[in-house]
Amino acid sequence: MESIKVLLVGQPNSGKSSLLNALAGAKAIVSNYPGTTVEVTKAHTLLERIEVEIIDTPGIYSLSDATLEEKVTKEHILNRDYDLIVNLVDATSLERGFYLTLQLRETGIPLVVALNFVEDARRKGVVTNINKLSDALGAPVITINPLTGHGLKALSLIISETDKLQTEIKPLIIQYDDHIEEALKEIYSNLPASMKVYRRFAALRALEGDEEFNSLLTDSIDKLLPEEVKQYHPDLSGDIMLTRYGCASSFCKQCVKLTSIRELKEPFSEKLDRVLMNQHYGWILCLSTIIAIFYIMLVLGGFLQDKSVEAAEAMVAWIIRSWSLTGVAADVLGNALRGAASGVGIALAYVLIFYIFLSLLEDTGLLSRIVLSFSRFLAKLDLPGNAVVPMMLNFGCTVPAISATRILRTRAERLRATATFVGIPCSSRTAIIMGLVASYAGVNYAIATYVIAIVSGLFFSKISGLFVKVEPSPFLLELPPYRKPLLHNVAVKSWIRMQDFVKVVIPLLIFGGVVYGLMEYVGLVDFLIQPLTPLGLWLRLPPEAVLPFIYGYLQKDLTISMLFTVLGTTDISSYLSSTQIFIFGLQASIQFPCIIASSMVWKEFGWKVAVYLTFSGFLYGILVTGLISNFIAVLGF
Amino acid sequence: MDALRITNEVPLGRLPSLNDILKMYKEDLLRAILEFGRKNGEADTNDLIADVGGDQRLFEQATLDLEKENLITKKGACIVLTPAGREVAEKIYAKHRFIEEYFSEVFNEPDVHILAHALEHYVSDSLLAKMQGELALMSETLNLSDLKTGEEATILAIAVSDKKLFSRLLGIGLSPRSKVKLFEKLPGQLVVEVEGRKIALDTFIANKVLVSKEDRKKAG
Repeated sequence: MESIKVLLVGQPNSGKSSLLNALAGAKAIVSNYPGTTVEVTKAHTLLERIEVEIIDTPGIYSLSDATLEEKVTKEHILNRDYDLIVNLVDATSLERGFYLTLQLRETGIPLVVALNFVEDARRKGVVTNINKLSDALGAPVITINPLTGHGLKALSLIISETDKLQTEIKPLIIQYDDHIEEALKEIYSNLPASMKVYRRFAALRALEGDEEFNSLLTDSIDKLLPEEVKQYHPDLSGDIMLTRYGCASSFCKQCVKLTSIRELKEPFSEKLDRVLMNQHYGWILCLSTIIAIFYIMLVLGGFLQDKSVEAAEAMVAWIIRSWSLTGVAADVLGNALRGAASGVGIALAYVLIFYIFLSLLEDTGLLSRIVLSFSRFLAKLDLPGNAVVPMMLNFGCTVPAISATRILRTRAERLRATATFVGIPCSSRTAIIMGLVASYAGVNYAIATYVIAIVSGLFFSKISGLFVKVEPSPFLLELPPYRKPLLHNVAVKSWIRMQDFVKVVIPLLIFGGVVYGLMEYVGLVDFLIQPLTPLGLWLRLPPEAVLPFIYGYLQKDLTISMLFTVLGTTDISSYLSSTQIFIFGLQASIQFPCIIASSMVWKEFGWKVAVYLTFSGFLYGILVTGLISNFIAVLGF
Repeated sequence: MDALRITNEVPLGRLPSLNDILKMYKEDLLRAILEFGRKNGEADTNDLIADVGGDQRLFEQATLDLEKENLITKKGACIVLTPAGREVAEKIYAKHRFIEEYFSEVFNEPDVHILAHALEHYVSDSLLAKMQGELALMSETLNLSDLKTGEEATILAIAVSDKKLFSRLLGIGLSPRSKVKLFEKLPGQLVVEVEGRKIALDTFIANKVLVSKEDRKKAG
């Protein structure tokens, strides 16, 4: 076999990404699944001197299509363009883990089961008999620990002998009751002759109500089902699932020995959960965590930003002086460099820090506690609980957050969540608030900008509720056990998430700088500023300070460097008062953030919604910011 | 009074006599006539034999008896129930369905209908009443939201009609017979522990997860 393709499949938090990192290191490439933000990670590595491609699929609880993750993973599994499935199972919760394993075994696809967290399980008194389990499942089972490297050799050997497994592994047949078996036979004979998966599995999926398999049938499932079956199994799919679960449960009982464990005092993680999920004050702690993270971003990011902007300005001066550049060349090169500097300094510093924290929260298990406590607050704004996920992502970048709203069930929910992005700052807007408002007007102004922007976003979403009504949808969230984060893992994850940003945003920033340099040279800038004077008046800003908003819409990260450019200096405080800087930051924050985000809305919801959101977002921002600006003026600050 | 006699249970504790077998056969036949009647409007003799089984002699004897008892009438190749026969058949049918429901609810046994077929003939009216009482008690069962913080319970059933949600609940470990502990009650949400894992869910789902605080071991 020349090269082997391996699919990693497992429940959420079963340690798939750790295993991928242990096997392949930092060479992984994340490909956002076309049109979504559900991450599929691929990596190439050499195992036992054989080229192996490992594909890490999103974690799923079962092979179904209730969530986006499930749809993506199911599609990968059923596509069959790989050689072997490595099914990661958390040894501390075998019973429910086996549910997915049994479904995978029913497909008949070659599979090896890798038990993770075996030591944790043993500490809880759960000892698994690997040989028995392997016999019961009819597939090889090994124990692994990606952190210590235990079992990786054995796994590599099994992967390298995939061709042997392909002939040895037969599909697992779960015996359902007579009526279901009868129904299966009926469906079986109505499926196409050649399929990528075992036909019994396809028939099961059809009976379980999977539209994809139903569409392969020659007739509607209702007509194909024998009357008797319908009578005895009014809820056929439920009965199939329960039988399978019963089977998983009995496998678990057969192969697991429970040993008594010493009664330890309540572990720290339990105490932490009691505090974080306390019904009275848990949310305050979660909110404080987020605020602390943004504070660290502010301090650390601010430091990095100062350094890089200083360096860029020095470089621009040096280049212009030593090459004795004048005219268009000086403008274009200077602006291109300033664009690059703002990309590296502002965006990179803040965005990277944000992603490191996000990955840390995720890997420790804290993120889901935070999601839980925010979800209650969101329910009050008639936003569904799981909307917190795209909203958290929006703190990073609005563009992927818009497509991540797909995890919500209805278009109305998705629209309402997307509407909050008009105010809730993404990292680029955070960079403006931190890099401009905090640096030049002070931390208090920055906090005020942040709070007003968030409240405005939530309020905007609430108003949009007049047009789009949301039906409540069920909230179900696992709170994984706390685990010590692997710094290597966190670093790899953050870097992977950064790559898009570096590859797309920084070139765009440089390009934006060049275009602006040219426009300035041609004199287009004055021409553009003219009609915007009234806006400057309303916002009580100098007219040229309005121009960065336009650039900001074209490319958010240009906002600050454009302000530097139009004012001709980085010493903004001498041109604008603290209040003006605050108002500038506010106006830059409350709007639909950028043209890329608008195009994403176009793609996801159609052009009408994109136009509506963009324009109403602009008008809303101008209204809110102008009112605040004039209010402050009236008060006489 | 005749009608009552036919639904009397077959005595336990000895092998069924020929008479008992005829009695059971007649009960199955009545139920089958009712079911075919509902489906096709009338019950064809051949269909009935195929469904209920047994040999021609047993079938003839049974139909003759039932005709004599004025529970059925023959119409060519078809058999229809008399009003009295319908009443009896519906009683048998209800008992059959109830026993099936009982076993699926209490034991979560997938082969319930086979059990129901076999056991319905042996279940006396008084036992039936007891079983109905038991099930009624179960239908008053608690759901997850009724538990107090720190309380443990066993999940009896999950009354969710959304198949995809049902599949997710099973995959996440919320399944019938698993033990669940209420960790914390939050406004509109619950945090529960299943298999040592914490799961947050809203009261909408929690209200559909039926639980029992005591162990249901007596079922065996």
